[in-house]
Amino acid sequence: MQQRLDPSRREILVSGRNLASACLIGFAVTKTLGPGEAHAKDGQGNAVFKPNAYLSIASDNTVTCVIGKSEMGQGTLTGIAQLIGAELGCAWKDIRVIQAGSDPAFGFPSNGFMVTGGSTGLRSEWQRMREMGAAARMMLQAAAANQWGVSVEQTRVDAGAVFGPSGQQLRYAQLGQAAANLPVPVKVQLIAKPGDSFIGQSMPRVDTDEKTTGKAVYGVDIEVPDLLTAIVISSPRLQAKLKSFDGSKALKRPGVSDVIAISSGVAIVGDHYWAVNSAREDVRIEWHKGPLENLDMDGIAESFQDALKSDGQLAQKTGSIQNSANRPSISRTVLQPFLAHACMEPMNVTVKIEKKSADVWGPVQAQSLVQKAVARVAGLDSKSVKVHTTFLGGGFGRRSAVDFVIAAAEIAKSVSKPVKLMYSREDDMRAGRFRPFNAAKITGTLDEKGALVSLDAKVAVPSVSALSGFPFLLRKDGVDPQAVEGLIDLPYDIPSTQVRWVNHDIGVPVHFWRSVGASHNPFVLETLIDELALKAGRTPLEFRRQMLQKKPGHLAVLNRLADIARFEETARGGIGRGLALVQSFGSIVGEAAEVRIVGEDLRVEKVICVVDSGVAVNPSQVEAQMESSIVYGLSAFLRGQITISDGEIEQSNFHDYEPLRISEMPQVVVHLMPSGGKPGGIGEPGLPPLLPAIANAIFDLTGKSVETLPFSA
Amino acid sequence: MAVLMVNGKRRRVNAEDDMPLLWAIRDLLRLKGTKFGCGAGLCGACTVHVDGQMTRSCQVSIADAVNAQVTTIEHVGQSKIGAKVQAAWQKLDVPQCGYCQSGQIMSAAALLEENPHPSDKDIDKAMSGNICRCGTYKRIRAAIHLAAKS
Repeated sequence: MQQRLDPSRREILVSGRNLASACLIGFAVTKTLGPGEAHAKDGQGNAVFKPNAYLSIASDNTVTCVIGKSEMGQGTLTGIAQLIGAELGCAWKDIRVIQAGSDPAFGFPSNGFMVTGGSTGLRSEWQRMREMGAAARMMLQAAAANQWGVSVEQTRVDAGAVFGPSGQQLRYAQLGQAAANLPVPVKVQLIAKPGDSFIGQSMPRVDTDEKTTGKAVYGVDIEVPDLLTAIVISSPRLQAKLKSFDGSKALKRPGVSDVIAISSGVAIVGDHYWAVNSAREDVRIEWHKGPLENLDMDGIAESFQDALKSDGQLAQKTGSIQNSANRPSISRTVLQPFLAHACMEPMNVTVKIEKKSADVWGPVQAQSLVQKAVARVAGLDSKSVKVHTTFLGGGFGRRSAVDFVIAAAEIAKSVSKPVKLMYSREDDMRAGRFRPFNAAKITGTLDEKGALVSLDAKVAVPSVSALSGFPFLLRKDGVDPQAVEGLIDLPYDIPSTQVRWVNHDIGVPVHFWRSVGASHNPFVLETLIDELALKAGRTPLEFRRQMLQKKPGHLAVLNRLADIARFEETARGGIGRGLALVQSFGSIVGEAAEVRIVGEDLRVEKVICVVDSGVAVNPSQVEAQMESSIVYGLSAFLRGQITISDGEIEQSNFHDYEPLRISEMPQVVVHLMPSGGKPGGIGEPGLPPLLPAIANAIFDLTGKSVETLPFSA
Repeated sequence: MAVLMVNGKRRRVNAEDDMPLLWAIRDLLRLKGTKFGCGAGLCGACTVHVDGQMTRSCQVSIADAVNAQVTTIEHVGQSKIGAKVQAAWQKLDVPQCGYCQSGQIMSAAALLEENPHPSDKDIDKAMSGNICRCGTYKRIRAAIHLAAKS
């Protein structure tokens, strides 16, 4: 099961025509292919059976799945291949996955917009990809039935072959040409049952082989003819513009060919990374002071505290907030820091601009936005920009930005050659686009029986959706759902709720960061809940159970978690235990943490995770994503912060923004309890409950609530 | 002009002596499996073997690598232990984004060459230099134990 990613490979042609015009199934055009139109040729000129844009079957029974989601570790290529293969009824060993080019056929079925994010890859393709596989299967069965003179109902499929009622058998390869003569069915029958097909099985990943042998091609690895490499020196101070520069000394260095100004700084262009990076210190640059000259953390904190005083905009109101003068209540205000994505593969992209077309190769998440951005720089139509997506060495949301793409395009246009823009780790750390700094104040009020009767929340955070280039995600009333997720639409039964959002933008570049608003809002809420529980004389577990009586699915996850974590038994001495429950991105996740404090050191010893993601298409990969989110969240809890002084980012590399190392790993245990229906997301949902679970464990152990992040003892 | 011994072959590289081995491997010899993560010896993505020793190639210059045997991820499978490590990684589907995994495998192979049956503490010590942002540490540990047993 190898994915072939060859940047020079041409896209598969359908009867000589381009994919886009023939196979826009689901998006706007509902045309399916007629008789004879499913004949196609592969890149080597061999005949294949290709009933749609997403799969083709060759004469050796190889099933090529063309998948348009960006693979950043979340297993999307494998998961989607499972959907296609499960309905198609082929053998797993016959599947090859090809990364799709940029085309609306590979965007969301609803609107053709091509992006990978929001843990939507598999969920958005759940229906369409199974239908595509099913349509192909039905054509193959019909072709076999025709050949045998039996009815289609008398045939069945298994592992890439059709079987007849009297022992007849034909492999898909043998039926492909006959099947291609038939029309593609518009109405399909889905037969794959979770657990009884690829769906629900831990199929081996399609990209493991390449990733364990050094063969996997990432953006940094791209090579195209005549390629030049560039770095960009950008202003140390955020948002400060270029005043003047002198590149004459740098140009004298071997391997350096150009030093030019672009909109985001000064680019050094040359033969390869080391050559241009070595010239960094040789460029004399003067920057304007810019609007953020005096920006520092004290000022930022004060600014957000002030923002919490304004009314902001109403995001949700249910019931009516009682005048709680006589009722016990707790307020909690938490400020949370900027966070960097710090993907292992530093930002990079390769752009080539020609008179009538442009090509982009690299690790990108938002292909549709990449096309628009390069088109604007190049003076072309978006459709003339082809995006060739490589593997992503981590994404976490960062690679759905197009800042680095614009910079590369400007350089490529200037030097009239293909240019690979590479970031050093320092560039990557400082080149903005952070999880926003935010502040939230939440007040919970109890009644005489100790039940939570009202919740009043206000969060001050900029509109990440608008600032990230996704303004269409805003609600009609102007509220950014990403700003208030984790506070609105809670599963807890609370009679009165009010959520307000203060759109507070201080000019620091921000972007989606793994779980977005759910990366910070649930932290404040779930820790407040534990404090309220204590005030109400209840355990955190009971307090939550009480509010989930109408939510059997959430209750089931909570109870399972309590069971596995033995929450109802007394903890061992010196151990603090805490839990949190968050529904996000279509999945319900409960996590429990066990911590110990040794001297000044916090030791997170164990994390237990229970996840209901509806349908666990690949259980092993669901588990992997929970493990992944737990580590990513734990890094943030312990050490995650990007700080600013005099408008400059203080961090630069992994010594001052240090992710978790293997020696710091807690024991992690993940239990899946898929409740059926449709798949929920798995890339992000494991993160939101992690930080509050640890904070609650610390609260359990010490009685002290965690007021600031990252944690300090 | 320097001559390096890389993956059992003599290779000429035309570069300044102070060029890091990492960039000679990636951009002059065009072996892309060894990765750039930080340039500061902090993340381990660039790990190769120099005379069998786990080495961060971003911290070694070409001049210092001359006369030494350099092995990269592309060739480590030729050794018994390298092959076992890769097989264990594949059996457990260790990689997610995979970018750190060349370095992880090289470090793990070096560990097992020196210590065929490492404890969890041994693994912590040997593998702490390799960062994984996707958090595959649990599977890395399991794969090292699996390779040690196989």
